[in-house]
Amino acid sequence: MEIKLADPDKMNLVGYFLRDLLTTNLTSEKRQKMARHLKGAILFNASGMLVTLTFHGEYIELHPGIANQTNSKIAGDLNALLDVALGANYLKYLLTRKIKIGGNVFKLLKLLKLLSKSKLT
Amino acid sequence: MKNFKPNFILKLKDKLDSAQVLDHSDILNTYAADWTEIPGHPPDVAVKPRTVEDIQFILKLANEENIPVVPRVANSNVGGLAIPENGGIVVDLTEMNRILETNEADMYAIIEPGVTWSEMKNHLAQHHPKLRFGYSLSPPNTSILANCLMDGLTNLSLKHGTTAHWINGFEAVLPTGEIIRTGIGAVSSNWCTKSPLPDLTGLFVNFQGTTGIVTKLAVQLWPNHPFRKRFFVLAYDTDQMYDFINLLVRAEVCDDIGGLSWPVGKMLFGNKRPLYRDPSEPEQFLYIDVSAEYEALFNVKLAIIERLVKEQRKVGVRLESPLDVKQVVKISPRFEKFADFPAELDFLLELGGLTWIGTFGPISKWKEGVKRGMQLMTDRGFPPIVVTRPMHGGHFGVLRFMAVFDKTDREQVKQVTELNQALSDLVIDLGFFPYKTPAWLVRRHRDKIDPNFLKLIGKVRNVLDPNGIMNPGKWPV
Repeated sequence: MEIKLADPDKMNLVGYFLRDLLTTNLTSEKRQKMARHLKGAILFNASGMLVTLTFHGEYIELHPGIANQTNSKIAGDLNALLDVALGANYLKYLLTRKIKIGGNVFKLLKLLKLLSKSKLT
Repeated sequence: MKNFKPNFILKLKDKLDSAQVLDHSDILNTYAADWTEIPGHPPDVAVKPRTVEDIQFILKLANEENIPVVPRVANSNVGGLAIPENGGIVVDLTEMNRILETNEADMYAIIEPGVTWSEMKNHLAQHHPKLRFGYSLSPPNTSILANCLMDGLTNLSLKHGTTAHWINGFEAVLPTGEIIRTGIGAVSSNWCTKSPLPDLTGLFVNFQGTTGIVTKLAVQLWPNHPFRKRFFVLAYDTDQMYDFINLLVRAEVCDDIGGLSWPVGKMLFGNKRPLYRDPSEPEQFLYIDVSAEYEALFNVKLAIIERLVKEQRKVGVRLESPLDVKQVVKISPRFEKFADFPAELDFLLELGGLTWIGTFGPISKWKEGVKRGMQLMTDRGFPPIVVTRPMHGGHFGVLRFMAVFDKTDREQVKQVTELNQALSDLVIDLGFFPYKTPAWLVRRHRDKIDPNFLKLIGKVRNVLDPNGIMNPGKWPV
């Protein structure tokens, strides 16, 4: 599955991390299927750095800042989000408000699963 | 000094193996230039000595015929120091690459000029795992000896100073062909220190090959602690980062600390020439190395660093918590380059050209130097790539501005030349001075250098090299 950077010259650190993370994680067929079923845009905010992830079925586009209309958002400090990416239990971070989500909860939980290096159950 | 006689090559071929004497123009062109903007010039011949006697022969002959001689190994000095601007002979020392001795009890090794970082690292890992050397943020196939003779920096330089400080002594061939030894090796078979003899080692440190050719170097080795970690700390404000570095330095818990400005991260992510930083992004990031012989000590060091970060954050300093580099590599494998040294610098060489104004100077002037230098680079259309490292317990620091450019683009070469001139004016004004000093910079700033200092350099070189054959044009006095 292709991960595209819209406006690569203006992309921020978080966008680059997300690109690399999704590129390695989406080699699994299970995760690719999950990503294909995600639709719309999610705003990702790590320590104030904003990236919009837009799911287009066969590809995902990352845009610096707020791009398309987003109906879901996820925010936290960069370390917390990277911890989750590395397999930390995201539920724990959500319950302790180190990561906050808003909007379509199911979509956001799927995104967290896509970003996490833990095995999908 | 273009008194080159072609039959000189025949004399070299007569004495040495023909494979050691290279005079084909295609090969000579590979010795002509380096990564920098400094114009290249090919030698008339390149010679690869294998023994000290080979070097003696070359230098005696060069003196008789008045031929310039330029010693080099990998030529990655980023200062034009091994460009044979007057032609003559390049002495390529890559084939003298033995580790002659590793003294585990007294913690030193004796190496030849061609020994590289990766060779040393592998040798110690295989045969002396309780010892380590410091490793440089430079390609694995570059010369340790050359680094030491140019006051190089490594990932132990915060604790132990530049690699010149680690020289216990050496053997060298003088320009007139005599062999000398310095340090306690001049009187003993054990090369454990350069004290307490008169220190002649300095006659070859930073003299850029103008006083002779070092053929063996005794360097200090250090304990290889089993507990070791490297991590990143992202800093959103430049001033705050340097205040934090000062705290870390004085806590004396780190082996190495490196400050890197924001473009470095983006270049690692594949942006070849990053010119834009979102205001929400960190301005700088640090890498920090910690090691210890015992786990309890290691944990205390880590706890101190965590505590310092937390205390800073409590008073409003914007720092991210330390990120273990190994974890970052899991997310982004390209950060493997920063997981350990030595490191390939391919991400800095994608445009073909790399240059810098790299200096040593007062840590107290870092903030001003970094901010003014970054602005200067940005104003001239260059990504503001800055590296800073505290050295030798924090007694001085590295301030290095790096520029990447397309060597085949004349306009970019001109722009980067002017950039370096402007940066050199700025840093010298603040009390820094460039290491691996390019000749153009000495000429540009000659009026700021103590004239008696320059005269003494000249006197020393006249005594050691009366015919002026050694790397002429470098440190022009």
